[in-house]
Amino acid sequence: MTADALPRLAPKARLKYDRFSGHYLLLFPETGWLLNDTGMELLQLCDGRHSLAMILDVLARRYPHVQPDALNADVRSFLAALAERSLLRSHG
Amino acid sequence: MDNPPRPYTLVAELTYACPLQCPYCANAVDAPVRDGEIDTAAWIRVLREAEALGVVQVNLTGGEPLLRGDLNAIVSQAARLGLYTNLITSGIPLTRERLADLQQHGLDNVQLSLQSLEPDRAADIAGGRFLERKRHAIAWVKELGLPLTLNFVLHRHNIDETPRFISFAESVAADRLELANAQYLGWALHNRDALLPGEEQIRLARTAAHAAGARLKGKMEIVFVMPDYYAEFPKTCMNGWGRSFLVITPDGTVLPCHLARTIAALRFETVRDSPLHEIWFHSDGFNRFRGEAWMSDPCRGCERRHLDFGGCRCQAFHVTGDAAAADPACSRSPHHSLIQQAGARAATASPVEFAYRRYGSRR
Repeated sequence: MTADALPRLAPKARLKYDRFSGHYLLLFPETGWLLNDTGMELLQLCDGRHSLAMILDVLARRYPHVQPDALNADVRSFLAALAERSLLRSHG
Repeated sequence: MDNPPRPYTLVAELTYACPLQCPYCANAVDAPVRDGEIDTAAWIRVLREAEALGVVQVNLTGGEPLLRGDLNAIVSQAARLGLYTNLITSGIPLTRERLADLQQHGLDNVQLSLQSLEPDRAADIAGGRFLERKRHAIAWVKELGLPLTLNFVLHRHNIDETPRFISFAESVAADRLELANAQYLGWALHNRDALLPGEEQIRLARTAAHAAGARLKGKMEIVFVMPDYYAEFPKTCMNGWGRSFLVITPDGTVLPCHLARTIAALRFETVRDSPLHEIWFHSDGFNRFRGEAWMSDPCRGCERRHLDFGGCRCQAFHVTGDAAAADPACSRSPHHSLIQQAGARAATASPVEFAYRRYGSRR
Protein backbone atom coordinates (compact mmCIF):
# COMPACT_ATOMS: atom_id res chain seq x y z
CA MET A 1 0.00 0.00 0.00
CA THR A 2 1.37 3.40 -0.97
CA ALA A 3 1.41 6.41 1.34
CA ASP A 4 -1.33 8.07 -0.78
CA ALA A 5 -3.70 5.09 -0.58
CA LEU A 6 -7.06 5.86 1.01
CA PRO A 7 -7.99 2.68 2.87
CA ARG A 8 -11.53 2.07 3.99
CA LEU A 9 -13.38 -0.92 5.35
CA ALA A 10 -14.97 -3.22 2.79
CA PRO A 11 -18.79 -3.01 2.71
CA LYS A 12 -19.11 -6.52 4.13
CA ALA A 13 -17.35 -5.54 7.37
CA ARG A 14 -18.98 -3.68 10.23
CA LEU A 15 -17.82 -2.48 13.64
CA LYS A 16 -19.82 -3.25 16.75
CA TYR A 17 -19.13 -2.32 20.35
CA ASP A 18 -19.14 -5.46 22.47
CA ARG A 19 -20.34 -4.81 26.00
CA PHE A 20 -19.20 -8.26 27.13
CA SER A 21 -15.53 -7.61 26.45
CA GLY A 22 -15.52 -3.82 26.50
CA HIS A 23 -13.86 -3.85 23.08
CA TYR A 24 -15.01 -3.37 19.53
CA LEU A 25 -15.64 -6.30 17.22
CA LEU A 26 -15.03 -6.19 13.51
CA LEU A 27 -17.82 -8.33 12.09
CA PHE A 28 -17.90 -9.90 8.65
CA PRO A 29 -19.52 -13.00 7.15
CA GLU A 30 -19.19 -16.07 9.37
CA THR A 31 -16.85 -14.54 11.92
CA GLY A 32 -15.35 -11.47 13.52
CA TRP A 33 -12.24 -10.10 15.19
CA LEU A 34 -11.98 -8.70 18.68
CA LEU A 35 -10.07 -5.43 18.34
CA ASN A 36 -7.74 -3.89 20.87
CA ASP A 37 -7.88 -0.12 21.40
CA THR A 38 -5.20 0.74 18.88
CA GLY A 39 -6.72 -1.58 16.27
CA MET A 40 -10.00 0.22 16.75
CA GLU A 41 -8.36 3.65 16.45
CA LEU A 42 -6.68 2.58 13.25
CA LEU A 43 -9.94 1.25 11.79
CA GLN A 44 -11.79 4.44 12.65
CA LEU A 45 -9.26 6.25 10.49
CA CYS A 46 -9.82 3.85 7.58
CA ASP A 47 -12.72 5.92 6.28
CA GLY A 48 -11.62 6.50 2.68
CA ARG A 49 -10.70 10.12 3.48
CA HIS A 50 -7.46 9.61 5.40
CA SER A 51 -4.46 8.52 3.37
CA LEU A 52 -2.05 6.00 4.85
CA ALA A 53 0.42 8.88 5.40
CA MET A 54 -2.24 10.88 7.28
CA ILE A 55 -3.19 7.85 9.38
CA LEU A 56 0.44 7.31 10.38
CA ASP A 57 0.72 10.99 11.21
CA VAL A 58 -2.37 11.00 13.44
CA LEU A 59 -1.26 7.89 15.30
CA ALA A 60 2.30 9.19 15.69
CA ARG A 61 0.95 12.29 17.44
CA ARG A 62 -1.29 10.17 19.66
CA TYR A 63 1.55 7.80 20.58
CA PRO A 64 4.64 10.00 20.72
CA HIS A 65 6.57 7.41 22.74
CA VAL A 66 6.33 4.78 19.96
CA GLN A 67 9.21 4.67 17.47
CA PRO A 68 7.97 5.82 14.03
CA ASP A 69 9.44 2.70 12.37
CA ALA A 70 7.68 0.41 14.84
CA LEU A 71 4.40 2.29 14.39
CA ASN A 72 4.72 2.13 10.62
CA ALA A 73 5.40 -1.63 10.75
CA ASP A 74 2.45 -2.26 13.11
CA VAL A 75 0.01 -0.27 11.03
CA ARG A 76 1.11 -1.90 7.79
CA SER A 77 0.92 -5.39 9.22
CA PHE A 78 -2.59 -4.83 10.56
CA LEU A 79 -3.71 -3.39 7.22
CA ALA A 80 -2.13 -6.35 5.45
CA ALA A 81 -4.05 -8.76 7.69
CA LEU A 82 -7.28 -6.93 6.85
CA ALA A 83 -6.47 -6.98 3.13
CA GLU A 84 -5.73 -10.68 3.31
CA ARG A 85 -9.34 -11.28 4.37
CA SER A 86 -10.62 -8.80 1.74
CA LEU A 87 -11.77 -6.47 4.49
CA LEU A 88 -10.16 -3.36 3.07
CA ARG A 89 -10.67 -1.27 -0.01
CA SER A 90 -8.07 1.29 -0.95
CA HIS A 91 -8.10 3.93 -3.62
CA GLY A 92 -5.31 6.17 -4.80
CA MET B 1 -12.25 -18.87 25.34
CA ASP B 2 -14.44 -17.41 28.04
CA ASN B 3 -15.41 -19.66 30.89
CA PRO B 4 -18.35 -20.28 30.91
CA PRO B 5 -18.55 -20.06 27.12
CA ARG B 6 -20.46 -17.42 25.23
CA PRO B 7 -22.23 -18.04 21.95
CA TYR B 8 -21.13 -15.75 19.12
CA THR B 9 -23.28 -17.08 16.29
CA LEU B 10 -26.94 -17.91 16.09
CA VAL B 11 -27.92 -20.14 13.20
CA ALA B 12 -31.61 -19.36 12.78
CA GLU B 13 -33.26 -22.09 10.74
CA LEU B 14 -36.47 -20.24 9.92
CA THR B 15 -38.22 -22.99 7.95
CA TYR B 16 -37.36 -26.38 6.50
CA ALA B 17 -39.49 -25.74 3.43
CA CYS B 18 -37.41 -25.19 0.28
CA PRO B 19 -38.13 -25.01 -3.45
CA LEU B 20 -34.90 -26.94 -4.10
CA GLN B 21 -34.29 -30.61 -3.40
CA CYS B 22 -30.50 -30.84 -3.26
CA PRO B 23 -29.43 -34.36 -2.31
CA TYR B 24 -26.70 -33.04 0.03
CA CYS B 25 -28.97 -30.80 2.08
CA ALA B 26 -27.63 -30.31 5.60
CA ASN B 27 -31.08 -30.68 7.12
CA ALA B 28 -31.97 -33.91 8.88
CA VAL B 29 -33.50 -36.56 6.64
CA ASP B 30 -36.54 -36.70 8.90
CA ALA B 31 -36.86 -32.95 9.49
CA PRO B 32 -40.48 -31.89 9.96
CA VAL B 33 -41.54 -29.42 7.28
CA ARG B 34 -43.72 -26.49 8.34
CA ASP B 35 -45.02 -28.36 11.38
CA GLY B 36 -45.10 -26.13 14.42
CA GLU B 37 -42.90 -23.32 13.11
CA ILE B 38 -42.49 -20.69 15.79
CA ASP B 39 -44.07 -17.34 14.99
CA THR B 40 -42.66 -13.87 14.44
CA ALA B 41 -43.06 -12.84 18.07
CA ALA B 42 -41.06 -15.88 19.19
CA TRP B 43 -38.18 -15.09 16.81
CA ILE B 44 -38.20 -11.45 17.93
CA ARG B 45 -37.88 -12.59 21.55
CA VAL B 46 -35.28 -15.23 20.73
CA LEU B 47 -33.08 -12.69 18.93
CA ARG B 48 -33.19 -10.44 21.98
CA GLU B 49 -32.29 -13.34 24.28
CA ALA B 50 -29.50 -14.42 21.95
CA GLU B 51 -27.99 -10.93 21.90
CA ALA B 52 -28.14 -10.79 25.68
CA LEU B 53 -26.18 -14.07 25.79
CA GLY B 54 -23.42 -12.63 23.62
CA VAL B 55 -24.43 -13.50 20.08
CA VAL B 56 -23.18 -11.05 17.44
CA GLN B 57 -23.79 -12.95 14.20
CA VAL B 58 -27.07 -14.31 12.88
CA ASN B 59 -27.25 -16.67 9.93
CA LEU B 60 -30.77 -16.65 8.57
CA THR B 61 -31.15 -20.01 6.95
CA GLY B 62 -33.42 -23.02 6.54
CA GLY B 63 -34.63 -24.61 4.26
CA GLU B 64 -35.23 -21.44 2.34
CA PRO B 65 -35.59 -18.44 4.66
CA LEU B 66 -37.25 -16.40 1.89
CA LEU B 67 -40.31 -18.60 2.33
CA ARG B 68 -40.96 -16.89 5.67
CA GLY B 69 -43.33 -14.00 5.10
CA ASP B 70 -42.02 -12.24 8.20
CA LEU B 71 -38.37 -12.07 7.16
CA ASN B 72 -38.38 -8.24 7.15
CA ALA B 73 -39.49 -8.16 10.77
CA ILE B 74 -36.84 -10.69 11.77
CA VAL B 75 -34.05 -8.85 9.94
CA SER B 76 -35.24 -5.58 11.43
CA GLN B 77 -35.06 -6.89 14.96
CA ALA B 78 -31.58 -8.34 14.37
CA ALA B 79 -30.40 -5.01 12.94
CA ARG B 80 -31.91 -3.11 15.88
CA LEU B 81 -29.86 -5.31 18.19
CA GLY B 82 -26.69 -4.61 16.18
CA LEU B 83 -26.36 -8.21 15.05
CA TYR B 84 -24.58 -8.99 11.78
CA THR B 85 -27.19 -10.59 9.56
CA ASN B 86 -26.32 -13.01 6.79
CA LEU B 87 -29.14 -14.30 4.58
CA ILE B 88 -28.25 -17.82 3.45
CA THR B 89 -30.46 -18.43 0.47
CA SER B 90 -30.99 -20.29 -2.76
CA GLY B 91 -32.19 -16.99 -4.24
CA ILE B 92 -35.58 -18.63 -4.93
CA PRO B 93 -38.12 -17.05 -4.69
CA LEU B 94 -36.78 -13.52 -4.80
CA THR B 95 -37.56 -10.24 -6.51
CA ARG B 96 -35.42 -7.13 -6.72
CA GLU B 97 -38.04 -5.25 -4.69
CA ARG B 98 -38.00 -7.80 -1.90
CA LEU B 99 -34.22 -7.75 -1.72
CA ALA B 100 -34.20 -3.94 -1.62
CA ASP B 101 -36.72 -4.18 1.19
CA LEU B 102 -34.54 -6.56 3.18
CA GLN B 103 -31.61 -4.21 2.67
CA GLN B 104 -33.73 -1.33 3.98
CA HIS B 105 -34.49 -3.40 7.05
CA GLY B 106 -30.78 -3.79 7.72
CA LEU B 107 -29.58 -6.96 6.03
CA ASP B 108 -25.74 -7.08 6.05
CA ASN B 109 -24.77 -9.88 3.66
CA VAL B 110 -26.31 -12.24 1.13
CA GLN B 111 -24.96 -15.75 0.71
CA LEU B 112 -26.36 -17.36 -2.41
CA SER B 113 -25.92 -21.01 -3.31
CA LEU B 114 -25.32 -22.37 -6.80
CA GLN B 115 -25.34 -26.02 -7.78
CA SER B 116 -23.55 -25.90 -11.14
CA LEU B 117 -23.09 -23.50 -14.04
CA GLU B 118 -24.17 -26.16 -16.54
CA PRO B 119 -27.94 -25.63 -16.82
CA ASP B 120 -28.80 -29.32 -17.12
CA ARG B 121 -26.50 -30.40 -14.34
CA ALA B 122 -27.74 -27.58 -12.11
CA ALA B 123 -31.31 -28.73 -12.68
CA ASP B 124 -30.36 -32.33 -12.00
CA ILE B 125 -28.79 -31.44 -8.66
CA ALA B 126 -31.36 -28.91 -7.45
CA GLY B 127 -34.30 -30.93 -8.73
CA GLY B 128 -35.55 -28.05 -10.90
CA ARG B 129 -34.50 -25.30 -13.33
CA PHE B 130 -33.37 -22.42 -11.13
CA LEU B 131 -30.04 -21.31 -12.60
CA GLU B 132 -31.36 -18.35 -14.61
CA ARG B 133 -33.33 -17.02 -11.65
CA LYS B 134 -30.25 -17.33 -9.49
CA ARG B 135 -28.25 -15.30 -11.99
CA HIS B 136 -30.88 -12.55 -11.74
CA ALA B 137 -30.73 -12.67 -7.96
CA ILE B 138 -26.95 -12.31 -8.06
CA ALA B 139 -27.25 -9.28 -10.33
CA TRP B 140 -29.73 -7.65 -7.93
CA VAL B 141 -27.45 -8.21 -4.93
CA LYS B 142 -24.64 -6.40 -6.73
CA GLU B 143 -26.85 -3.64 -8.16
CA LEU B 144 -28.12 -2.87 -4.69
CA GLY B 145 -24.58 -2.78 -3.34
CA LEU B 146 -25.07 -5.61 -0.88
CA PRO B 147 -22.03 -7.75 -0.06
CA LEU B 148 -22.23 -11.09 -1.87
CA THR B 149 -20.99 -14.51 -0.84
CA LEU B 150 -21.32 -17.25 -3.44
CA ASN B 151 -21.50 -20.77 -2.11
CA PHE B 152 -20.92 -23.89 -4.16
CA VAL B 153 -21.40 -27.18 -2.36
CA LEU B 154 -18.91 -29.47 -4.07
CA HIS B 155 -19.37 -33.16 -4.76
CA ARG B 156 -18.45 -35.71 -7.38
CA HIS B 157 -20.76 -34.27 -10.05
CA ASN B 158 -19.72 -30.61 -9.96
CA ILE B 159 -16.27 -30.44 -8.35
CA ASP B 160 -14.53 -30.54 -11.75
CA GLU B 161 -16.25 -27.21 -12.54
CA THR B 162 -14.25 -25.48 -9.80
CA PRO B 163 -12.12 -23.30 -12.15
CA ARG B 164 -15.32 -22.13 -13.83
CA PHE B 165 -16.94 -21.39 -10.45
CA ILE B 166 -13.95 -19.20 -9.65
CA SER B 167 -14.09 -17.23 -12.92
CA PHE B 168 -17.84 -16.83 -12.53
CA ALA B 169 -17.43 -15.45 -8.99
CA GLU B 170 -14.80 -13.07 -10.33
CA SER B 171 -17.02 -11.95 -13.19
CA VAL B 172 -19.89 -11.05 -10.86
CA ALA B 173 -17.48 -9.45 -8.34
CA ALA B 174 -18.46 -11.67 -5.42
CA ASP B 175 -16.92 -10.55 -2.14
CA ARG B 176 -16.44 -14.08 -0.89
CA LEU B 177 -16.48 -17.48 -2.55
CA GLU B 178 -17.09 -20.65 -0.62
CA LEU B 179 -16.08 -23.86 -2.35
CA ALA B 180 -17.30 -26.21 0.29
CA ASN B 181 -17.30 -29.94 -0.12
CA ALA B 182 -20.49 -31.50 1.17
CA GLN B 183 -20.14 -32.68 4.74
CA TYR B 184 -21.44 -36.21 4.87
CA LEU B 185 -24.25 -35.88 7.37
CA GLY B 186 -27.98 -35.34 6.90
CA TRP B 187 -29.06 -35.87 3.29
CA ALA B 188 -25.44 -35.98 2.14
CA LEU B 189 -24.78 -39.06 4.28
CA HIS B 190 -27.93 -40.63 2.86
CA ASN B 191 -26.52 -39.98 -0.64
CA ARG B 192 -22.86 -40.45 0.18
CA ASP B 193 -22.13 -43.08 -2.43
CA ALA B 194 -23.65 -40.88 -5.13
CA LEU B 195 -21.78 -37.74 -4.01
CA LEU B 196 -18.37 -38.36 -2.47
CA PRO B 197 -15.67 -37.26 -4.96
CA GLY B 198 -12.51 -39.20 -5.60
CA GLU B 199 -9.30 -37.98 -3.99
CA GLU B 200 -7.79 -36.84 -7.30
CA GLN B 201 -10.86 -34.69 -8.08
CA ILE B 202 -10.43 -33.01 -4.72
CA ARG B 203 -6.71 -32.45 -5.24
CA LEU B 204 -7.30 -30.67 -8.55
CA ALA B 205 -10.09 -28.50 -7.18
CA ARG B 206 -8.08 -27.57 -4.12
CA THR B 207 -5.07 -26.62 -6.24
CA ALA B 208 -7.27 -24.36 -8.40
CA ALA B 209 -8.86 -22.77 -5.34
CA HIS B 210 -5.53 -22.09 -3.66
CA ALA B 211 -4.01 -20.57 -6.80
CA ALA B 212 -7.05 -18.31 -7.25
CA GLY B 213 -7.02 -17.39 -3.57
CA ALA B 214 -3.43 -16.16 -3.89
CA ARG B 215 -4.12 -14.33 -7.15
CA LEU B 216 -7.27 -12.62 -5.88
CA LYS B 217 -6.01 -11.88 -2.39
CA GLY B 218 -7.51 -8.62 -1.18
CA LYS B 219 -10.28 -8.67 -3.81
CA MET B 220 -12.22 -11.83 -3.12
CA GLU B 221 -11.90 -14.16 -0.18
CA ILE B 222 -11.89 -17.79 -1.31
CA VAL B 223 -12.62 -20.54 1.18
CA PHE B 224 -12.08 -24.18 0.22
CA VAL B 225 -13.58 -26.74 2.59
CA MET B 226 -12.31 -30.32 2.38
CA PRO B 227 -14.52 -33.31 2.95
CA ASP B 228 -13.16 -34.74 6.18
CA TYR B 229 -13.31 -38.20 4.61
CA TYR B 230 -9.86 -37.54 3.15
CA ALA B 231 -8.35 -35.67 6.07
CA GLU B 232 -5.97 -37.06 8.67
CA PHE B 233 -7.76 -35.34 11.53
CA PRO B 234 -11.39 -34.38 12.04
CA LYS B 235 -12.85 -30.92 11.55
CA THR B 236 -13.29 -28.66 14.55
CA CYS B 237 -17.00 -29.14 14.26
CA MET B 238 -19.03 -26.05 15.29
CA ASN B 239 -15.86 -24.87 17.04
CA GLY B 240 -16.66 -27.44 19.72
CA TRP B 241 -19.98 -28.53 21.19
CA GLY B 242 -21.77 -25.67 22.95
CA ARG B 243 -18.76 -23.35 22.71
CA SER B 244 -19.75 -20.65 20.24
CA PHE B 245 -22.73 -21.74 18.14
CA LEU B 246 -26.43 -21.91 18.84
CA VAL B 247 -28.78 -23.43 16.29
CA ILE B 248 -32.51 -22.81 16.57
CA THR B 249 -34.71 -24.99 14.40
CA PRO B 250 -38.00 -23.84 12.82
CA ASP B 251 -39.98 -25.31 15.72
CA GLY B 252 -37.80 -23.51 18.26
CA THR B 253 -35.60 -26.40 19.38
CA VAL B 254 -32.20 -25.12 20.54
CA LEU B 255 -29.24 -27.21 19.39
CA PRO B 256 -25.43 -27.08 19.56
CA CYS B 257 -25.31 -28.03 15.84
CA HIS B 258 -27.74 -28.48 12.95
CA LEU B 259 -28.04 -32.23 13.34
CA ALA B 260 -27.62 -32.72 17.09
CA ARG B 261 -31.25 -33.76 17.26
CA THR B 262 -30.48 -36.81 15.12
CA ILE B 263 -28.34 -38.27 17.93
CA ALA B 264 -30.59 -40.76 19.68
CA ALA B 265 -30.93 -40.44 23.44
CA LEU B 266 -30.10 -36.73 23.52
CA ARG B 267 -32.89 -34.41 24.55
CA PHE B 268 -33.08 -30.78 23.61
CA GLU B 269 -35.34 -28.04 24.86
CA THR B 270 -37.22 -25.47 22.86
CA VAL B 271 -37.53 -21.73 23.26
CA ARG B 272 -41.13 -22.39 24.26
CA ASP B 273 -39.96 -24.35 27.33
CA SER B 274 -37.16 -22.22 28.73
CA PRO B 275 -35.26 -18.98 28.28
CA LEU B 276 -32.27 -19.28 25.94
CA HIS B 277 -29.92 -18.48 28.80
CA GLU B 278 -31.15 -21.53 30.76
CA ILE B 279 -30.79 -23.80 27.75
CA TRP B 280 -27.31 -22.60 26.83
CA PHE B 281 -25.84 -22.86 30.32
CA HIS B 282 -27.84 -25.55 32.07
CA SER B 283 -29.51 -27.99 29.66
CA ASP B 284 -28.31 -31.58 29.51
CA GLY B 285 -28.15 -31.47 25.72
CA PHE B 286 -25.67 -28.58 25.69
CA ASN B 287 -23.60 -29.87 28.58
CA ARG B 288 -23.40 -33.45 27.33
CA PHE B 289 -20.28 -32.95 25.17
CA ARG B 290 -18.84 -29.77 26.64
CA GLY B 291 -15.34 -29.95 28.02
CA GLU B 292 -13.43 -33.23 28.06
CA ALA B 293 -15.03 -35.41 30.73
CA TRP B 294 -17.09 -37.28 28.14
CA MET B 295 -14.08 -38.27 26.07
CA SER B 296 -12.69 -41.77 25.95
CA ASP B 297 -9.58 -43.09 24.21
CA PRO B 298 -8.07 -42.12 21.82
CA CYS B 299 -9.35 -38.55 22.43
CA ARG B 300 -8.81 -38.51 26.18
CA GLY B 301 -5.02 -38.47 26.03
CA CYS B 302 -4.68 -36.87 22.61
CA GLU B 303 -2.74 -33.62 22.29
CA ARG B 304 -5.17 -32.52 19.55
CA ARG B 305 -8.25 -32.59 21.79
CA HIS B 306 -7.91 -28.84 22.42
CA LEU B 307 -7.83 -28.22 18.66
CA ASP B 308 -10.72 -30.31 17.39
CA PHE B 309 -12.63 -31.19 20.60
CA GLY B 310 -12.98 -34.77 19.38
CA GLY B 311 -14.48 -33.71 16.03
CA CYS B 312 -18.10 -34.15 15.04
CA ARG B 313 -20.47 -35.86 17.49
CA CYS B 314 -23.11 -36.46 14.82
CA GLN B 315 -20.59 -38.15 12.54
CA ALA B 316 -19.43 -40.31 15.45
CA PHE B 317 -23.01 -41.32 16.13
CA HIS B 318 -24.10 -41.94 12.56
CA VAL B 319 -20.99 -43.82 11.48
CA THR B 320 -20.00 -45.72 14.66
CA GLY B 321 -23.31 -45.78 16.54
CA ASP B 322 -21.71 -44.10 19.58
CA ALA B 323 -21.96 -40.30 19.87
CA ALA B 324 -19.17 -40.27 22.49
CA ALA B 325 -16.69 -42.12 20.28
CA ALA B 326 -13.85 -40.32 18.53
CA ASP B 327 -14.94 -38.84 15.20
CA PRO B 328 -14.22 -41.71 12.75
CA ALA B 329 -12.77 -39.14 10.31
CA CYS B 330 -9.76 -39.12 12.66
CA SER B 331 -6.95 -41.42 11.59
CA ARG B 332 -6.54 -42.36 15.28
CA SER B 333 -10.14 -43.56 15.59
CA PRO B 334 -10.58 -47.35 15.81
CA HIS B 335 -13.49 -46.88 13.38
CA HIS B 336 -11.49 -44.96 10.78
CA SER B 337 -11.69 -47.85 8.31
CA LEU B 338 -15.43 -47.14 7.89
CA ILE B 339 -14.54 -43.72 6.48
CA GLN B 340 -11.68 -45.07 4.38
CA GLN B 341 -13.95 -47.71 2.84
CA ALA B 342 -16.40 -45.00 1.69
CA GLY B 343 -13.46 -43.12 0.14
CA ALA B 344 -12.28 -46.27 -1.63
CA ARG B 345 -15.79 -46.83 -3.04
CA ALA B 346 -15.84 -43.24 -4.31
CA ALA B 347 -12.58 -43.75 -6.18
CA THR B 348 -14.07 -46.59 -8.20
CA ALA B 349 -17.63 -45.38 -8.20
CA SER B 350 -20.19 -46.32 -10.75
CA PRO B 351 -23.17 -43.95 -11.05
CA VAL B 352 -25.62 -44.02 -8.17
CA GLU B 353 -28.95 -42.23 -8.32
CA PHE B 354 -29.66 -39.36 -5.96
CA ALA B 355 -32.37 -39.57 -3.39
CA TYR B 356 -33.65 -36.00 -3.59
CA ARG B 357 -34.41 -34.04 -0.48
CA ARG B 358 -38.16 -34.40 -0.44
CA TYR B 359 -40.39 -34.12 2.54
CA GLY B 360 -44.01 -34.94 2.97
CA SER B 361 -43.92 -37.85 0.53
CA ARG B 362 -42.87 -41.37 1.29
CA ARG B 363 -39.34 -42.21 0.35
